[in-house]
Amino acid sequence: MEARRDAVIYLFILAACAVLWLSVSRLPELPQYRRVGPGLWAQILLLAIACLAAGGLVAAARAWRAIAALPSPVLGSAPLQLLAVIAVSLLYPFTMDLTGFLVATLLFQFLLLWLLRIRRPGHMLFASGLNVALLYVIFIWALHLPLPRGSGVFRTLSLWFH
Amino acid sequence: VLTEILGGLQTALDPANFVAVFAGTMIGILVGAVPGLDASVGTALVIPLTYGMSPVQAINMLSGIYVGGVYGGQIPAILFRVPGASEAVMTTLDGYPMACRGEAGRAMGFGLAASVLGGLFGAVVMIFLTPPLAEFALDFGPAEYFALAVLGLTAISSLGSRSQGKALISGMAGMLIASVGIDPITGITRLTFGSPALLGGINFIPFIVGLFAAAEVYNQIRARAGGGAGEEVAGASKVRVALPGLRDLWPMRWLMARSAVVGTWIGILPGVGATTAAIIGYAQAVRFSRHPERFGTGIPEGIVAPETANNAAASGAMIPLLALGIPGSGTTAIMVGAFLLHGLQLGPLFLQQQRPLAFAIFGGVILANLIFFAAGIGAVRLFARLLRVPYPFLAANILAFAAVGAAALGDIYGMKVMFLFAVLGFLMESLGFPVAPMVLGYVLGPIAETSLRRALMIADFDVSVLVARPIAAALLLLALASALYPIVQGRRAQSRSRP
Repeated sequence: MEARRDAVIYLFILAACAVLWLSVSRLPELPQYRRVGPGLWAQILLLAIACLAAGGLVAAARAWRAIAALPSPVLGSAPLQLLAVIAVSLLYPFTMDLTGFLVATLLFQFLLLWLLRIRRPGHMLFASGLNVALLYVIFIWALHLPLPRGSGVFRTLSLWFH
Repeated sequence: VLTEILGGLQTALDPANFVAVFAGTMIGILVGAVPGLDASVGTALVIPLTYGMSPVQAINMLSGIYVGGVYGGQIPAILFRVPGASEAVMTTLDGYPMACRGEAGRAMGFGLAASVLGGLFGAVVMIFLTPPLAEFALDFGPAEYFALAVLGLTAISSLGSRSQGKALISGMAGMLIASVGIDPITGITRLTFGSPALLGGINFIPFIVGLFAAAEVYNQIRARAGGGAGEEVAGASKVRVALPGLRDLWPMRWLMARSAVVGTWIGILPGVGATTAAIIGYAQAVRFSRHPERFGTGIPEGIVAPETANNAAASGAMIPLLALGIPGSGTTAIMVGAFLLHGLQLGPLFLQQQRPLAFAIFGGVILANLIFFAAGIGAVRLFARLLRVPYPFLAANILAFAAVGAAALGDIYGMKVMFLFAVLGFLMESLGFPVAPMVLGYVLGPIAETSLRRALMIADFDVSVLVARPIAAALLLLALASALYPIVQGRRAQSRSRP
């Protein structure tokens, strides 16, 4: 099964190389840099990656034939918990855009701890609050970095703190 | 040189700089000691914190994390049979059996002494080798730089993965990522797909924080869902470090000397790093021992050899970084980000233009070694207790820290990029593509590209210019050998295993 998975990945890499090759081959050329233009380096890399992926594809195809199918040990066993953590992580920046650093981070911490099976509300609140306070002290108070304030009522709330 | 060394030490001892080195070393020991974190993750996480620091403080703090992180890995390796960082993988073999026999303090003492001696040896070599190497490199032309970048990529590609092809793909993908944005030679935009956000390229900090720190959290969550870690030695949090005396260390003097030399040399090789140094240090200790059968049963030699080698390699890895601008390991590749952040141009001219800073960095590395020696004696119990913090709290903390650090660049775009690379890093690790070559590729890519194109432009597209000069030819040959070595070794192993 690992060989089949590798074959799919190598096919994906080959397809990606083809798309990127098309993109760099359409770059405008300047006469004085005709042979060493902006696309040369990317084309060398894409060609090398494609060759390696093609080699990998051949090896995977051979292994696929030779080895009996086994259950996939990696992505197939990715637990729901992990997928949820990744989903929450990917939503975090968008939430921060809307609600600002303080509210979004507090929510993010709380959700993450819950997803990671910390179920005592006291522990979750204390850890989330402590972490937000720590980030506030380091990034806003000490480093004076402009972290997002959100919009509307959240912006007003954020302005009380930073 | 002696005056400059003393000047560097004096700068490193300046209160503000000392605090930076001290904090860095303590963070390093902590990230090294916590399984799932290591010096690379620590360095990646702390880079955004160095915005407000002076270059000396920033680089010394990161050097402290690197040095402390390599040492810190041995604490759980000895107490829990779980290497806190990959550099401590060989230390578990003899450290844990010693701890099980009730000799945890003695094992930690040998590990600490070996780490300090190895680290100081590497630091001394760094001080005396970096300036002449940088001077030598002043004669390097674009062809030599191109060859050096290729060597760095091929060296790292042979490590960190069962498949060399996957490691090479990862490294070249890193080079490709670095080429996104405006072409430095023609000014034409490439691979941006019309997105204005990509015009400036993909920022280094969200890229490394995502690939190393956040992706590692996802990896750990998946790993921990599958099973637990090693067993804890009884009374681990009450362990007291028992430093060995001269009488204990004297019989191991040649072992330590060999390990220190091997470690420093491996550290100097572009892209190889401390983990390989520890493995080779241990292997050479077994090979030269009169009682190789005793290794793995819990003997001090099995701790001293890898710990001397990996700490020597950590200092050694700074040599190509400071002399040539080529990172010697994954962690030093991340440190390049701090130099860029503070507007410092690495390369042979760095030592000419920023000599006091370079010697302050040397001083910082020596100081970091002395600090972790003191911390190792006094704070092992504290670190052993901190290891009991449940991982969910650490994971939530690291993800938020990584995200806010990436957003601190000015907008949320950095945070989105960080999480995208975190997912990419997780998928890559899951599919057997190591992430360290990608970071090295990102750092080496612009060097390789501009050098190659300049060399070709100077020679009117005559490709033979790349091997026309002896140093460039030798480096390319070395790169070829380094790329072919794992293949030849694999074939040999295959033919040996056939009946």
